[in-house]
Amino acid sequence: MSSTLFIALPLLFGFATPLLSRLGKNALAYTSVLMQLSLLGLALSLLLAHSSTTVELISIAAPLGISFVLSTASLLMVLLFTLLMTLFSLYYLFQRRANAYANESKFFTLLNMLLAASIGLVLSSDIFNIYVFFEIAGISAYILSAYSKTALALESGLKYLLTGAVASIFLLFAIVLIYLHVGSLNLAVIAEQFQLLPYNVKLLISLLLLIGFGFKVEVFPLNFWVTDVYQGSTSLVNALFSGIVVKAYLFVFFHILYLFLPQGEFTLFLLYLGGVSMLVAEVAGLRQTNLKRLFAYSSLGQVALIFVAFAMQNIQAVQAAFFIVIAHSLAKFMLFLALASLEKTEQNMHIDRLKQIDSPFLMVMMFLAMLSLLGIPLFVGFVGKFLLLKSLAVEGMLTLLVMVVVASFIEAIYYFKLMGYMLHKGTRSEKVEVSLGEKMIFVSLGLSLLLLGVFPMSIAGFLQNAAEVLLDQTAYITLLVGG
Amino acid sequence: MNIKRDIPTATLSGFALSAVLVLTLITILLQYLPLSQQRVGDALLVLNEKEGVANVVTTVVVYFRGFDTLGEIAVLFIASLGVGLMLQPNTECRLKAESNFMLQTASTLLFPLILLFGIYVMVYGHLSPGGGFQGGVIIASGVLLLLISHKNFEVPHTVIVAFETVAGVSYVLIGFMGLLLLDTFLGNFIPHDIANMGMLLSGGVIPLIYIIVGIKVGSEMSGIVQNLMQRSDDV
Repeated sequence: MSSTLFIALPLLFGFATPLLSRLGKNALAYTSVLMQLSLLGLALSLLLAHSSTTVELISIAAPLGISFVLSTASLLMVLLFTLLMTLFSLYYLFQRRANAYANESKFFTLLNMLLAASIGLVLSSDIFNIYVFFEIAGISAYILSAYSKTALALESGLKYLLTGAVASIFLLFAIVLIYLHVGSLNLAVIAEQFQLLPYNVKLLISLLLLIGFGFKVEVFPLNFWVTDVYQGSTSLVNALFSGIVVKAYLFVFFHILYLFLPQGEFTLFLLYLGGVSMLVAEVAGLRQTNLKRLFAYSSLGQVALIFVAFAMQNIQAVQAAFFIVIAHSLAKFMLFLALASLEKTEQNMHIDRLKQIDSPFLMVMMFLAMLSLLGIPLFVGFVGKFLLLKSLAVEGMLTLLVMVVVASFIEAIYYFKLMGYMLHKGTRSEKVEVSLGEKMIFVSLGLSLLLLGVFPMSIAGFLQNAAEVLLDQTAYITLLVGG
Repeated sequence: MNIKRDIPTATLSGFALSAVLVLTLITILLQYLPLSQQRVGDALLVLNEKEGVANVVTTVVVYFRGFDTLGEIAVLFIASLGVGLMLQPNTECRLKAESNFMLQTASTLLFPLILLFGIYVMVYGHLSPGGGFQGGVIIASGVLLLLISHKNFEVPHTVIVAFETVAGVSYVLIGFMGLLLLDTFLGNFIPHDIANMGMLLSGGVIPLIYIIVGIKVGSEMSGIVQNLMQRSDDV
């Protein structure tokens, strides 16, 4: 089967939306879910077939044309994205009667464009093609962020648009320089020749890439916009931002980094950059009283943790990074969807309202997600954090190890505060209805957090293979340009 | 106009600072221009001969980097959707000024010509400079002219949506046809004899895609322009 389907089908769906929305009131929603389910099925069948890395050419052969590389690593991300997007659409369907979006057809178009772009970022082996997907993902995210058109939403959309535009200028500039000096846009060809460039050019390109992607992977000085965007967007959309979009950017950034800088020239710099962003985010999170902002800061902390793990550039640490990616995506998805269920009455909840809400089911689910985020044993979050700490200890990076531990403690402080609010004894006045369908989504997410945590070995081999493939620069080059 | 009074000093100094930064950056960059003047396009030129298309740029844009073009179309599509969403058409408030009689007559006369020219640029994109993007924008500029000159002119929303949907869907479907017949997405599955190079019917699937791109760009841009026009500035 062709990996192009993962991108072309959602695009086709996006283009065909006006046609589908004429077929009936629910036709659009159902076909969207059906398409995402079939993509999920396709990804699963590829997983079971478990073939080696495949390259799919578009129009012409590799060095000149665009090609998509489906390896264990990219398949893992594709699987995660399609799974989360399917769950998202199902959740939206279940709560739709009470809480449908205005202009629903446009909402579905944007969702599928976002899916296509995130998958494209992960699969593409051509840096300009990556830029195109960078733009598609960006623009759909800006619009989704401003979707509700309240003052806060418009502000966040504008902020997102401006930072995103700056980021893409930096990325575009890097691509121009690369094309000027290497004469190719193919990642493998660039990887081959990057080391031969003059030092200053290499430095300039690396810096431009770091700044361009830095905005999107939310590292410390460039992440000032994130919390405002999370606060302005609806919780539903935030689930996508922290579950899918940022993970796609993280993957593609480190994919490019491993290819261009195999010797790990900036490793130490990146490691401490990640460490500092983690501490800053967690400390800033301590004082938040708005739930969305709080979760946004926690997202920043976790993303920085993933950043550190990827920046370690060894197989154990990258495997840990994949574990944290999965754990964080599932848990944050749960938290934001739970917040969306709670927010039916009021947007932008203050944390005190957790004391008022009477919904044991949602409380239990949020509890599970928080425990996993904190890295409590028996949850998949623990496995990731443990593996990362282990590999930091093996490498003898004690400062970073201390930083990770301190950041985890700070995160624990505010999550325990929230848990205290949720367990608060007293009269609970606000009853929140959760439909059976919504419950099923939450239970499946929660169960996967638990099951993966109790049996981490079931996916450990797969993740290790993914880490090996992602780090193996020579195999990638041989695959694309031969010899 | 007194610049000092109208524009705050902070803005001016901001502009000055950015200008200095940009100049510094350009100076630095110029020092690192690649010394060997390699010609990056040569390999593409050689490959182009197989496709039988006279305009190499078209082959590169539509065929060799076809997926990028599909992506750019998607970008335009989402951008137009965003404009439509943020400035939802409101028939109550639109540009109020009645334009001059001469402008009205002239633009009515010019519009068919602009349309024809746009279509020409679009259809001959594989033979001469131009193509879908340019042709589409020319058509949209004709629509803009009518929007400015005629107070009550409006392209029906359904027409725009119909064009953009048909164009978008058929682009992806052509891609799938290539996947089915040639095992590569967007493959050139229509026979394209090199002997026909320079004829209107040559290049197989390439002119077809460029026309689709033109329709898509024309309808999206017209939609954006119309959405922007239908807001009066007092909202």
